[in-house]
Amino acid sequence: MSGTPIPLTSTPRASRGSTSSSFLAQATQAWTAIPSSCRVDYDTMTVAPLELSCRSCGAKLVVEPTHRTTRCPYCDTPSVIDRPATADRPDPVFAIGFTVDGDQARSFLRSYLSGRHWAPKALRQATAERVEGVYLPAYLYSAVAHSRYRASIGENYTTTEFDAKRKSMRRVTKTEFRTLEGSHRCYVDDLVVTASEGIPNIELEAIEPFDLTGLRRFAPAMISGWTSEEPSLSRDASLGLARQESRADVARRLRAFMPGDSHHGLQSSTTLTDEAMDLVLLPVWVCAVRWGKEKEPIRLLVSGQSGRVAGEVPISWAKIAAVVGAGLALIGLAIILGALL
Amino acid sequence: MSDTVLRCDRCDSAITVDDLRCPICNLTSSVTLGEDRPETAVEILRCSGCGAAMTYDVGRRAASCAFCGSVLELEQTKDPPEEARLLLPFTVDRDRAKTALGNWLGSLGWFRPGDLTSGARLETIQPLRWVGWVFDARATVSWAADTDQDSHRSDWAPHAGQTGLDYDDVVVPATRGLTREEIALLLPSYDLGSAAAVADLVDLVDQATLERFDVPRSTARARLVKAVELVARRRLEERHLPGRRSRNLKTATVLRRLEARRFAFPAWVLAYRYKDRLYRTVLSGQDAGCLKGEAPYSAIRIAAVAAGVMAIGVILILLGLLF
Repeated sequence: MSGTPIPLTSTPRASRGSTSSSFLAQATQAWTAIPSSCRVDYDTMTVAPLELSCRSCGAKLVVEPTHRTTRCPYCDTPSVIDRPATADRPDPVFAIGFTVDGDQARSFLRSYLSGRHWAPKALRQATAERVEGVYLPAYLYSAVAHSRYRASIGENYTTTEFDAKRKSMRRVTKTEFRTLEGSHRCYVDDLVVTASEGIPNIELEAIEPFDLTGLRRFAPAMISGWTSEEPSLSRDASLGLARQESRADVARRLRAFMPGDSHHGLQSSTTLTDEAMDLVLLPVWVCAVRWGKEKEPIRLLVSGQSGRVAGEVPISWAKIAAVVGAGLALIGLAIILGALL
Repeated sequence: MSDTVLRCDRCDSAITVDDLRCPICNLTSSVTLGEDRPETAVEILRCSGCGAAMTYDVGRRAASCAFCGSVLELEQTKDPPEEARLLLPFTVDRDRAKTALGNWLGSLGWFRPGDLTSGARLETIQPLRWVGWVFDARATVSWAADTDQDSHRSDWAPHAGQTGLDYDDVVVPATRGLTREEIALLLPSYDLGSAAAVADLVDLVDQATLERFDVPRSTARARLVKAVELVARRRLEERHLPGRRSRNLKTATVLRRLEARRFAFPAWVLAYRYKDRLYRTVLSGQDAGCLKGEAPYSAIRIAAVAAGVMAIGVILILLGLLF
């Protein structure tokens, strides 16, 4: 391999006023409706687009600051860009390589769409207009969680009491509640949160889990020729998401940790220490599906590792109205028949 | 396979340079974290065969050249099979092992066939080294349970606590050749301090079959963590829970400084034949008195005793009827 990276001098341009936006925003703006909160505006970021030259033909490469990879517009040679790490844009530590190819992604998508029974017929039969493999930046978070908790624990007991109606004794199960306070400590690990403004965490969660045994040390060879996004969410924003997810995870574990036959009023406070967060590139197929002339195309994600599909699919109000109408008609018919007989 | 031991920065457990992350707390290993590049670089991955640019190929799970088809293999996560590193020497030699079997057969008691010692023929005697992990660790265990302490109307009252547990030289067997009961009997007979590295071992017996750990490293660690959990539950129930009875024991463990060594323990596997049937026994390689095995019962003697007991019973009943 002669692919040893050679540093080139870059000429950073002031990005103020430029309208560059992330790949996902750019790629989907034309044909996908993204909520305005997801639109990326890099005017506020101090990252400049890079001007580098193609190592193959010497032509100027214009690389968006949101990309880690590019192709030369003249000779189509794929390049991997390696920038100095910053706090909000650290170097990827891990990557999970694609194991689902484009054709498989399309077929996963087709079967997902045809299974949406409430979706408009045109959409259920639609095929993806564009399917693009993207390495999505995300953070892998782990920490030690220390919690204090307090809950009311229900302990059941049986007793016999007199049944006035039946005039006999009967056994009844009753519950006495006792307060329990304590400490709980555990590791929180393998939490994945988005580092991309284009893909909100909730969308990423929908195609999780990723099998982390497929985790590899990041190498340019894993992303060469593919679109790879740089983190666009600030580290603090991702950290906030990770802490929120950790607390939810610990709360879930605490509920399962409670002894007794039942419990209620569980309250807890959790402190996270020894936190660590590393950048990982996840394989995701970003698909745009157009399903009607006047309709806005929808965006769906397919995990490039498991083939899991997720995305919001509109429902057909006509179908719902038809079913509700048919139901009402049946009820009406039954009432009329009942009245007649 | 590299066994160079590093320490996890968070939980201080032993990790190897091959580990991308700590297997206990999942912290990224300091080896995995690369160095920062001071300047921006553009990298083109070139095929060493034809010079064309290579791209990642889904089918091959690696970067490949579209022109000549050559593949640049990615670094694979190493998950090597485990091998024993420390061996305990045999202190019971072949002759003493045979004698031990004879003594044991003679000590089994009256319900065994009378000619067991003379009628048993030794078929095979095999020196074996069975394998297992021996680990040390520190753990903070949070627990919650219902116990009978301070209970009111219900039999149970909730209790919770947090305690530090130390694990020193806890053995987790990895063998498939021996049963759990056999291992439980053999374990106390071993002197872990006598262990030596393969190269330094001075032994009475050579050509002992060395059993293999038939699990890769990742599975081994999962088993160790499970063992830690089991030992913690047992210790909590024995020493830390208030009251005499308990139920619904829940635990959460934060493990630190886990260090596992791979041991091979010496044993003799002896098979003897008595009246066309083979019986298997296992003897510790370090204690001639520590033997576990199967032996026939004498059907005639048992029947005789049963008949005698019944006869006495009948006589007593008859006597009871008469008086």
